Amino acid sequence: MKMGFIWPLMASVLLTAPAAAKTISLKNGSFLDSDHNKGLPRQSVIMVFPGGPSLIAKEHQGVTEVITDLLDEGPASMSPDEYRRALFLANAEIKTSATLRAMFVSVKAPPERLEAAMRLAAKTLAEPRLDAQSFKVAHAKVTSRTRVAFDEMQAVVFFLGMRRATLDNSDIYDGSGSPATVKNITLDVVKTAYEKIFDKKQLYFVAAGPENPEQVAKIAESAVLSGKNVPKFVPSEGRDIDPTNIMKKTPRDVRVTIINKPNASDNQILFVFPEAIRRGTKEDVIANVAHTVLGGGLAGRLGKTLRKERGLTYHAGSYVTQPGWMIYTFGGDEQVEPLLKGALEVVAAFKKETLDKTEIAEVKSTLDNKHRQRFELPSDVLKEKIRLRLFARDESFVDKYQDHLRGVSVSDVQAFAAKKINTESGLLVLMGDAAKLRGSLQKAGYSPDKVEVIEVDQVM
Amino acid sequence: MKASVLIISSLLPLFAWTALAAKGQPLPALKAKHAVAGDLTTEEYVLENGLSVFLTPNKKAPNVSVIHWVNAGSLHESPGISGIAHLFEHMMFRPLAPGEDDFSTKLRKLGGDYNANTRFESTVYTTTVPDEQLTAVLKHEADRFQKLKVTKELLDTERKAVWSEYSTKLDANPVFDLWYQVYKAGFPGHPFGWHIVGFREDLEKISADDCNKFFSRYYRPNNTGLFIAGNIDVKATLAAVVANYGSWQKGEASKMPPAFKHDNKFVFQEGVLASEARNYLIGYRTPPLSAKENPELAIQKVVNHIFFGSDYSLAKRRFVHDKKVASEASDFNFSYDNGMLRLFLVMLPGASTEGVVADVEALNGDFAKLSDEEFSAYLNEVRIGSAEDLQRNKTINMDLALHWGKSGGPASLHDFVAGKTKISRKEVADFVGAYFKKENMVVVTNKQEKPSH
Repeated sequence: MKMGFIWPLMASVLLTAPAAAKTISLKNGSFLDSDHNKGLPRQSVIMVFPGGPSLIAKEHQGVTEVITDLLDEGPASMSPDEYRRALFLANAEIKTSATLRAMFVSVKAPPERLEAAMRLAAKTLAEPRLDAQSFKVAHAKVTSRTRVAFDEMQAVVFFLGMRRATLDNSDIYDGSGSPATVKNITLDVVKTAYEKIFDKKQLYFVAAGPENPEQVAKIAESAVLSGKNVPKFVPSEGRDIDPTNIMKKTPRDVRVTIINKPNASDNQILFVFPEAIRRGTKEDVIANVAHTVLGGGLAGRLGKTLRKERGLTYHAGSYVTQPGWMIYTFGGDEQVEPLLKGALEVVAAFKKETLDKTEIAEVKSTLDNKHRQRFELPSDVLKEKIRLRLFARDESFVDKYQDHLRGVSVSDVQAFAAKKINTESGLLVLMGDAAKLRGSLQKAGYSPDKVEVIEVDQVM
Repeated sequence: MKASVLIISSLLPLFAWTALAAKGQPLPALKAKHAVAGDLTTEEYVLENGLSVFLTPNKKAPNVSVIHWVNAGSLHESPGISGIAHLFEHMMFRPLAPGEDDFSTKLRKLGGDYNANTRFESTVYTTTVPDEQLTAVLKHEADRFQKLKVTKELLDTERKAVWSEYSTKLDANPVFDLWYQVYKAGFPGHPFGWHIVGFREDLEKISADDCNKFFSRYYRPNNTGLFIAGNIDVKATLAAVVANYGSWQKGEASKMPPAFKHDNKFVFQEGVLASEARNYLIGYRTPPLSAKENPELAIQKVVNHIFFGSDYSLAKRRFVHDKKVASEASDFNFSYDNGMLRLFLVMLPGASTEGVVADVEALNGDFAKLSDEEFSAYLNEVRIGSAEDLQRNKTINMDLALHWGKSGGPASLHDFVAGKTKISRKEVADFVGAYFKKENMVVVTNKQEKPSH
């Protein structure tokens, strides 16, 4: 493949107001969502393959990372060095990544090289290096990187916490594995996963850049959706995690798990409480307001009390999550008991508090500001819509968010706090030295015989 | 009626600030205009007290970003009070007086969000607010930069939060430990050699009086750059800046410490924390970048990118793709840090670690063998990457602040991105020749923990 080098002239980049995003239908029934932004120097096209890690068994999580590494080597009919060099000289990128319920193949290239880059991406997907030697190297890399990731205690606590809290619902798998799961991955596991993940029948495209959307659509069709056996597009069925189902199966108690890290000087604390919050609706927005008041940064109740007043931690916050909400904090050995007690005291006080109209207005303004920043570019909206579709949420939620926010009243937040901020049933995951943590838990009122202790290499 | 009231009330702040500014101090003359990205330009002003002000109207932005870059970081500390710059940064979010709202609460009332971080050469405060709250936030910002007084009670509480930060990062995370160790090993006895968070024993001893002296010495307008970008009116904003910051007293300029004198010996050591992974952090000591002294930011960015940062970097090619001994070979904290360019390596399980140092040295030879086409492609990557970063209001503003703080002004990299200045192969080769030498190399690796799997 010939890719001549042309120097892109920054002086010629025009920053005009981007046109609204456009949806273009493709021949097989698929579609392209595109933001025509002449201010960007390169055109990007994301190929969205719904499913991703959620199609893979729990004990094989991390396989999407192995697949990513294999695809980074290019098509089997080209040497990896030739592949990488061609992309480099063309100032193009082809990157694969896993996310919740999807796998992305992202292509970025100067407009004049977009077609060549898309063809190369399609060729790589059609000819992946699923041979023993390539697998061995990719697997070793993922093993190595997973070990580094698991050095970060926060990552381990969240990894286990979210799985246990959702009763191992595959929709929370983001592609990362644990040392234990990565160990289980074989070449056969990779091959089976690859076929499931890169099925073209649900494939669609999201693009942003200076190229005309109609032209991007033509390139996507000719590079990726042409030839024999191009399936008819079948939209993927979005689905959301059902917290009510989880709540039914969760005992009315707080289950405690310690991930043991002997001699740790720091301790991680994660509470997860299932709660039926209707995501992608006004209730989602009310939940955000409530949790910002309770646990948003230094001005939230948790940060104010546990950090500013009592100096117990650098951070204490509450967040809406799947399947409900969570409290996250950390501290030294002496701080664990007061943090455990203090966090729940703050929540209990918050539920009884008569909230102030002015404060709610201020929090709404903060969330509005954050929303504006988060969705500053039209392409930000398009990427968020991918997620909304995958989780069967209202695709116009991003556009409606500010209206919903304006409509949130003090009584909405008060009612939400009373009804949907509960701490009687859920999960507490800690990481640190188990012997010390047991003692702190007992002082904080948790029964020692109900505490499960596992080692890091058992985390799955 | 409503519309006219709205118009009048929205104009009042503009007239009010302009009147105030006219009463107290004249508005400064425009010092320079800089092209930033696309059709955006930044206007640079300097107040009588030395405060540098950069205003970037960006009508497409949905809000306003306000950044204060203070030329005071861990390099300006003295032995015995290491960590004071970072501890003081925490105090900047505390109340100005007992019973008052603290800064985070004041920001919450304006719908703003905020952050701050302490670096080697600077402390950076970032705030974002809805457009209509700019004048209000400038008052709060100006107040804390001029009136903050640290008390023992507030300091003691905040010290505990810093301990918590210390224990969760430095004491628990092996990669953080490598970051600390590479500077400690590379710059013994020099302020670069103690971590930004400071030594534990110093943290315990820092008093409120120490903090107030640090504030008085360094938090001065002539040591500060104020960057405002977003949906703003330049004249009204400048008037508001003058009105709020005009009476801030000039002080002694920040000075970088004397350059580190090293003994031209290669350094290799193990970190404190263990990991099952075998990681290396390898640094070449470089002259510290500062607004006054060193215009090499663009050159360092290119060198860092070619050797360590690009997806096709020399390090990746050698360690990950050719020799297949590493799963990762990347740069480390380039924009944030100072005084070193570093390579972070994650070795594959079982890979031999003999020869790592020799292979890093061999990257110089790999560089010399690059074709002109490859060299140009790397430059192109840096330019395009920078241009892609400059799409958001906050990142545009942060980039301006970084370039002012580290290279004297925004012109350097922006001119490079726009293709106005060329960085020659010779300039890059000279830099590599001067600093990428074994006797200038510092290597740290973590203690090995026995694999549990």
